[in-house]
Amino acid sequence: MTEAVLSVRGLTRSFGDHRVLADLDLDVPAGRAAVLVGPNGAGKSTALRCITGVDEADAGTVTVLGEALDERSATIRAALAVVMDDLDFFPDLTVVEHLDLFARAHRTDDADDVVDDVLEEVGLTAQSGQLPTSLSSGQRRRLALASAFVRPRRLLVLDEPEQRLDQEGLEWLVTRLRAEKEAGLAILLASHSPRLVDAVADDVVRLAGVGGP
Amino acid sequence: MTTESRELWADIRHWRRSRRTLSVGEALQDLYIGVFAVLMLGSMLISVLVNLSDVGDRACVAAECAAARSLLPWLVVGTALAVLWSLARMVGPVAVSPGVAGWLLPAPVDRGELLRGRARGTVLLAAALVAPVAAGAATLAGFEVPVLALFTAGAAGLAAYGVGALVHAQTVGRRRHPALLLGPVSLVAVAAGLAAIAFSVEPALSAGSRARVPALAGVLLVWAGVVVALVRARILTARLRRRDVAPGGVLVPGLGGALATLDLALMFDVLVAHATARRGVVRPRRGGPRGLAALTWRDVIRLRRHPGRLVLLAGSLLVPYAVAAVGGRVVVVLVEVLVCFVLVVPFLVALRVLTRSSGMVRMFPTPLGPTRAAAVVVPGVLLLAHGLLSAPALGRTLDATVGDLALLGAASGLGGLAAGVRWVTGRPPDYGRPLVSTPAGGVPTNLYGSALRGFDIAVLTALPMLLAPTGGGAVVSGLLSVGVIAYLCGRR
Repeated sequence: MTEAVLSVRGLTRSFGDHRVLADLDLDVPAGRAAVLVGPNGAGKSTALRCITGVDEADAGTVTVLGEALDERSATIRAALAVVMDDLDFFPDLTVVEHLDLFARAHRTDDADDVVDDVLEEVGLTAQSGQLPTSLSSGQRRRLALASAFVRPRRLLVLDEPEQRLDQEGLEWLVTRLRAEKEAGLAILLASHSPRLVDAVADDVVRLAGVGGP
Repeated sequence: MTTESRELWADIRHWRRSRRTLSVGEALQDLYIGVFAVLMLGSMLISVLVNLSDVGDRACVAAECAAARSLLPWLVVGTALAVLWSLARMVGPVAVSPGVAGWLLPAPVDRGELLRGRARGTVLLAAALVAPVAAGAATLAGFEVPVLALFTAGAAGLAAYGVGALVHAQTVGRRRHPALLLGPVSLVAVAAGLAAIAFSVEPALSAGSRARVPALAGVLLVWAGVVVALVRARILTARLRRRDVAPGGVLVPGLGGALATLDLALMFDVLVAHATARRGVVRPRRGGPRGLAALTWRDVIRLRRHPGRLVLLAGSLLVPYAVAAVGGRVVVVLVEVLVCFVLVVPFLVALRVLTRSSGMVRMFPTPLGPTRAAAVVVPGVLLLAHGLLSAPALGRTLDATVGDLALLGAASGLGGLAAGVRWVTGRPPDYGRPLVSTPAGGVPTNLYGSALRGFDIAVLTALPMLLAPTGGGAVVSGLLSVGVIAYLCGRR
């Protein structure tokens, strides 16, 4: 079997007496997608937060490209593209300026072309001069997702990426994630969308919520 | 079937009264501590102002100082008017709550009758806000009571007239209405006053007894203008569209909520979001360097997009020169730090977003510290230049070598930057932590401190220069500033 880009062992997280995650094991090799599913409060977002280093797990290990997770590591930051629900945009930069900034910050080759392609793909070309406050919530979600696609990446982590997307947007996301897999990327996402899970998931991890100490 | 707006208001009043659990008298009884506190603090403030005025009478005897002192109320009122008119323009000035915008404005009632009370209230509120500021400044300047009353009435009238003119601009919906220039014109007048002090031109603005009659006529004229503005607003408010009055109504609760927790940085966020939402679309600028320099380059783009901020920063150089001209001596350093602190905040929008959004920090390939530091480079360069350009002002009042003056100027700019970074990166009051018990209920430990955030660092970084206004003091201050900036940029 191909070596896992992301490997999680024994991930455990509690809030006070309430245990949210218990001994989560997970491997995501290159070119495959793992999807966390489960009801609200099952621990999907908590798992993603611990896996990406936003939150600290009580126990367990996370390795990315064979390196223990340290979100300060330049290698990991360069490989790991994360889109959660906490992305807040610069209020005074336009849509295209955001993507241009992310692409240049990551030294993306042919940044202009990549940004133009992604803008067209997510359907925001007409909004390229708009400031984020004037976008609809669905358009802001598309911009957040687009931010992950203008930069180099080996592992894509998305928290409920289907949120606020219309049907057309969801189909675009399915197509895009399949293309990402074909390009050899490892994908980990949490989702409530049966369409997304059916179309993209190679491995489905069901979280039911642990509860109790 | 149509409904009279009076009937609607009566229904609303009835609905509110039927659900209230306290009368106004009972609410005041509950708030007696607050009422007493306001009365006590107000009387203390008046006492302090009168005492300071007496001190000024004794200490400020030189011609230059006396001339500057006579200009003080004009500068204070000019600044207050500029701030007030800018805020009024941002809010509306006529604004309605989301409830009124959603339920009452679409109703088939006389919109003018719904809105004219708000227009009138806003105009009179402007007068009520500026009057105490004007009276306080006039007291400090040592104005006699009749002159003080005249000055206060004039300033209040001017504030009300300006807001009335802005109501007119709002009703006609013109983007180039002359009333929209009131704020900038007021700032230019303040700059002219500062320049007069800085270059030791001594204008005689202390109203003598002969000037009182024309001054009284002027004040009466201004108030006649206020009456005309109110009458005109009464007629024109019916023309206001929902989109003219609804955004301000969303802004006010946002600002109120932030103010309730003394989270001033959140107020800044609300104002920036409101301003950008109104602007909506701008011409995008692409390209620039790669790596973290791309983040710094965006600050350069911001400068090109908002040249007004740069003009204001450049104009503020007059302040240290004016203070030096009236013999401010080493106080010039503190003033320079404070000026830099206050004016750098609008340049730190990127740092603010990188502070409040961990998601945005994750979008960059570098750790937190260097990423945030990249957002401080351009403001830092601007303030270093500001500090260096203020050095000749120090030279007018301090006996120091050119090298020392340059170091003091640069350290002052850095001190202002450190204070600005502290203000922008401050944590909001945390209601999740143990609260301190007060008569007003439980409050977070950092609630009151948040009002002083930034000023603490401004004083801390200025202190070494105040104690030793030499190159050594400047180096210590500079090191302190760099340490504070490095710590705050790297803090999670």
